[in-house]
Amino acid sequence: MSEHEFKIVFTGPMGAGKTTAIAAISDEPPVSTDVVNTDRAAFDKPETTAGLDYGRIALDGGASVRLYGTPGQLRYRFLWDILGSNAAGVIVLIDAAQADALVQLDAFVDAFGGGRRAPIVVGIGRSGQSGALPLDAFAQRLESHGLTLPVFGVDVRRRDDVLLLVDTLLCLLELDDASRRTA
Amino acid sequence: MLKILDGRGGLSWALAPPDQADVLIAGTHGDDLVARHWAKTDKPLIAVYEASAARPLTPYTLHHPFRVMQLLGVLEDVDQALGDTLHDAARTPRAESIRIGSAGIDFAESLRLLARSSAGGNLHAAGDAATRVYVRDDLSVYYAGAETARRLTREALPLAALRLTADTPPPGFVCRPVLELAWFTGWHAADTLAPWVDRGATHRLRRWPDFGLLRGTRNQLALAALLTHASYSRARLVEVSRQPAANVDRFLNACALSGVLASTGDAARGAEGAGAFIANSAARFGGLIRGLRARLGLTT
Repeated sequence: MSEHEFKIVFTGPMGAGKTTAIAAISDEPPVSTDVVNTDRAAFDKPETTAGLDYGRIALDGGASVRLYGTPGQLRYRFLWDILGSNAAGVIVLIDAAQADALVQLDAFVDAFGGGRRAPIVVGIGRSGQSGALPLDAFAQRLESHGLTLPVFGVDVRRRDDVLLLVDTLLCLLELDDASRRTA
Repeated sequence: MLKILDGRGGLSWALAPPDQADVLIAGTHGDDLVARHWAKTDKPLIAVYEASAARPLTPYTLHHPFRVMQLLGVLEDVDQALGDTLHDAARTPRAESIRIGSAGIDFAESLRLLARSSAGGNLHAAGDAATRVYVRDDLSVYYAGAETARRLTREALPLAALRLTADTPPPGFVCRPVLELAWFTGWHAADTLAPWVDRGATHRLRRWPDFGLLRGTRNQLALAALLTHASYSRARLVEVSRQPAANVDRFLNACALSGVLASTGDAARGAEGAGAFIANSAARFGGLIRGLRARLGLTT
């Protein structure tokens, strides 16, 4: 990764809002590799991201921030590793209304190093909805694994909520955390 | 269970009747007389709560069912707090600039005591007709008029201590998470350390407050990032964060009242972390972070 750019990865299961979140802050509409969703039992939407989403924020002096969204399905796990390589930080988006939301949280947080390789911020959608898991269940789940990560209730359709996740990630990046870098 | 703990902590744990105990492990439901008495003390309470319940606003909690290692983790924290307290009887007194007796502080203190009590399914209320606030004693939600709910996020309302009430919230009152009430009550309580924060301790966050709900500011995010990575005394936190002392104090007040702050040890005895963190944009990605914030309109 060049000194004039860094990479933020948005990850999480299908339907959690990764593409929406990137679109909220990218300079241009994200480049998506959506295909027909053949797994509508897992999440009922017509298309899903099979490869990746890509957005970009240009900064002064030719620098840029690259925004990558991973595919949500476990069978594309190999792409998570590729996209997560050299990431400055990771935003995990989880839909609290999905039945296996806690298992998904475990899978995505673990896949990106549990915050030890790069800071992780977790955004939980629909946690206030009837039948959805409360936000506390996600924080508690991480704590049971010894992790104290930021876990916020968000609606990524609201730009302010996406900015909150990004700003938190930047605050964590500003910590010159020797333990993280040597992990 | 106590046999498992034997030899692991700085203190020896033994079962004791409540009037002789240093720590109470209690469920958060059921109007328990022991828990009610305990609430009036400053002794640690480990609140056990079920999956469907809101997390108690106390520093030490266990989510039932819990693993032995989770209990050990909580007891280690209590152990540290108790050990330092017992070791150093001449501990630095708490903040003296604020006294219980002013309306806002009384309300905050009553909320803090409610968080240490078992729930009986009752409502507690404070405020006059214009600022009436009802709080469920399981600390899941509070009820207030829409304007009152808005005001308490922006200013300290002149609320007296919460009292048990048989009234019910009038129609039209909004129902909000009690974390919001606790956070903003703590934040607006004072611009110096509140009586419920130990001035001589080192502090760390047991978990992040839900800033999605609370709309955390940059300064609050930065303080939370620091305090989830290491323990800091109040003075060291002011130094490392480069924020005004009043800001830091308000943050600690809010975190403590929201039950996310763990205060242990004695800062004067060097219990705080090494402080290997630099809270400025020159640390790792330098100008990229500043540039990104500027582009996204993320000003302080």
